[in-house]
Amino acid sequence: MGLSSTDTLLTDAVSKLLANISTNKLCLAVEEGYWPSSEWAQVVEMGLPMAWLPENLGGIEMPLEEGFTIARLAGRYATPLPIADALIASAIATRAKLKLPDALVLFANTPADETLVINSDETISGRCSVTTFAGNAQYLLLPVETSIGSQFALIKNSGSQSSVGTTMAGEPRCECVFDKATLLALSDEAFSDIQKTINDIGAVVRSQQIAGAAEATLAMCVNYVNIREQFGRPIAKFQAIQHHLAALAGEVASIACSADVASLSLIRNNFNSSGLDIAIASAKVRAGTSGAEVIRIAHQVHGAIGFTEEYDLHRFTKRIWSWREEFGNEMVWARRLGQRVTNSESPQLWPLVCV
Amino acid sequence: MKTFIEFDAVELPDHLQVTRAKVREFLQREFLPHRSKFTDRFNPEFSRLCGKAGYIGMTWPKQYGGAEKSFLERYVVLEEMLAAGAPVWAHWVADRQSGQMLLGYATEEIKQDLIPKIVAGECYFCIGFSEPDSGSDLFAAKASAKLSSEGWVLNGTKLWTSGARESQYMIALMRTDKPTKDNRRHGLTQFLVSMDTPGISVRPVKSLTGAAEFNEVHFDNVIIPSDNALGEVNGAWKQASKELAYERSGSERFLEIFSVLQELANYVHKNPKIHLQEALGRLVADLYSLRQMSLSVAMMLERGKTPMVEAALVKDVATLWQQTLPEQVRNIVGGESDFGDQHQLRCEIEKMLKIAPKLTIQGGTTEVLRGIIAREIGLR
Repeated sequence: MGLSSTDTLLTDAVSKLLANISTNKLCLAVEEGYWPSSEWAQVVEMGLPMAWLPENLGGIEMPLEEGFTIARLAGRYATPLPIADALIASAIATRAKLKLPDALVLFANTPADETLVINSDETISGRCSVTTFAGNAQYLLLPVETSIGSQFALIKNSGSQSSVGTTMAGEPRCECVFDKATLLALSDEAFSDIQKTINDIGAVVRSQQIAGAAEATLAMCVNYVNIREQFGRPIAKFQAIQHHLAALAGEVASIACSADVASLSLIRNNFNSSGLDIAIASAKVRAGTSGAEVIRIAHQVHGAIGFTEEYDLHRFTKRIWSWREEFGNEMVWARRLGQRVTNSESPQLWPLVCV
Repeated sequence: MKTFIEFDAVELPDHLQVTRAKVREFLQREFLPHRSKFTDRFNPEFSRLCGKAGYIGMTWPKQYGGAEKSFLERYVVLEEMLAAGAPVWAHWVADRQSGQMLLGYATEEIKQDLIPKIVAGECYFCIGFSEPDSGSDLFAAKASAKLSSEGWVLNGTKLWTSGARESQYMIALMRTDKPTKDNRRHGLTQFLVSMDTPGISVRPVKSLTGAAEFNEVHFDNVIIPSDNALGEVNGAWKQASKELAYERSGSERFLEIFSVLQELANYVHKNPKIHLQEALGRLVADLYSLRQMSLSVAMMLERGKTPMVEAALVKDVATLWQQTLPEQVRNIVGGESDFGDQHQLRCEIEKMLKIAPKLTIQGGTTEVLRGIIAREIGLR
């Protein structure tokens, strides 16, 4: 990817691991409810989930760019593991200055219009909103309301869980209910814009995953049309196919470029931008809208085989569908961006766009 | 896994924000308060102001009057001009490609004569590539140049030439030999042609906008100096690549009809309904992303890369988006109750609808670009 300081050694090592474990068979097993513990152990061994967390908080403190590279690669291989989700949790923990245990920690939000509060005996009761892979997390990071405002809390995920189906990618989702769960740690600080912090980080990570999945989809299409023969020649020879793939490449490019720009913006603002960040909004809008085009074109050029579970394409298609809805879909971000323009004194677009 | 496409994410260096502020001051002083007197898109008066301010030929060598600035700085200047709707089109072609062409391939005498005039905003160029039977297929050009004792003798017709009546010079692509069996691109040469040479006649071609921006240029035994061949005779095809990347991926690909989007923003600002805000937000996100892609190509060029596929992608994606823009804006507001005949936004939509069809044709059609992209990403 284009983030210039990205270490290619890291990219190579991560690619190799993820290519190895991210098989269609494993994805299908996860869709059936299997938790790939040995594959997860390999990912943990490489330090990927904790990439962003500083050493003093239990992480390995990789350069920030590299965390985004990991998210991109997790998308590129459609790895059926919560790597990017754990990265999001570690980014939030970094902001909250919370030390994380050496285990799967995921971030879980509270349902809209509900809040979590700390009981007088330092426990937490209530529930989190439906979260992917939450059933497999040993610990959860949650926003709680306290006397000083919104803080992040770390708890052991030991309450009851009710499965709420799966994401469109078939990854498990559940709602966790806590009854007097022990509060392990609480951020010192309160965050006035806690939902914004969460959405910003989550949206950029998801945009990177979608960018990776889109890149993989393009590579698959190029490979397929060069091999697949119809009417006596590879279908790559047909102009209709060439134009499909050129259009596909344009969509992929716009997703990938936008995701990198948003990542740089988050890094520059130390994961804490003030006001709406147009780079983030644009990245998630592009990931959503262009993602739909990527899916449409890729399936069109693949024909019937792309529609099957046997062939790899479905893993990427379904993940793009799933990821684009999370941390605000394109409608939500477009609305925020439109409101940013029209709620300001002057609706001048250019100064906003050319930042 | 091969990813085919690499866009470096770009942060503009801080000193370019100073450049940006200066361009805005310039526009504020010289253009915005006097908009009504600058109605012509082809506007020598404005071009001379740009020349005086040092905004033409910015990257060119100082010995010819250039400023040896970076391509990124030039990028910032041009995008500010376009976003403000400044009438830059008189010097546009010379600044973007013809000057570069002369610097690369013209004789020292020609360079010393013409480059300073271009930089001053006094000397304008048109491009004579297309012909009645040769549009996207440039290598089918028939208009010919033959070397005689008096110089090169040009005959034939060029078509769709923008600015042919107003420009002093043309860079013309002429046939100097037949294509060979192995190389159908062989046999074409580029020439510097002074438009006041006897034997040249120009016929305006009115477009559906009502203006005659295009022309048909006829050459009838036009004799030009033998020095005016630019680069290798019969080898014009070798001279393209890098300049093409600049031409394709510039900010004009998404800012040519930007004003219709600004008008939409003005409208939604006054009518802040949620569905309008969302629709506006989508378009702003598109614009932001396209600019970042375009900027990224500029940065890669600056770093000495040749991002051919990326530049073609930017033009393809950006021009298609820009083409749909007036229609999208129309769809967003067309049903609103206050949207009468005289509404400023409606006028803007109508004006831009008329320009839209050409946006995916000029400077390389969508079909040609897609052929290039497909080849570059490995379709054999």
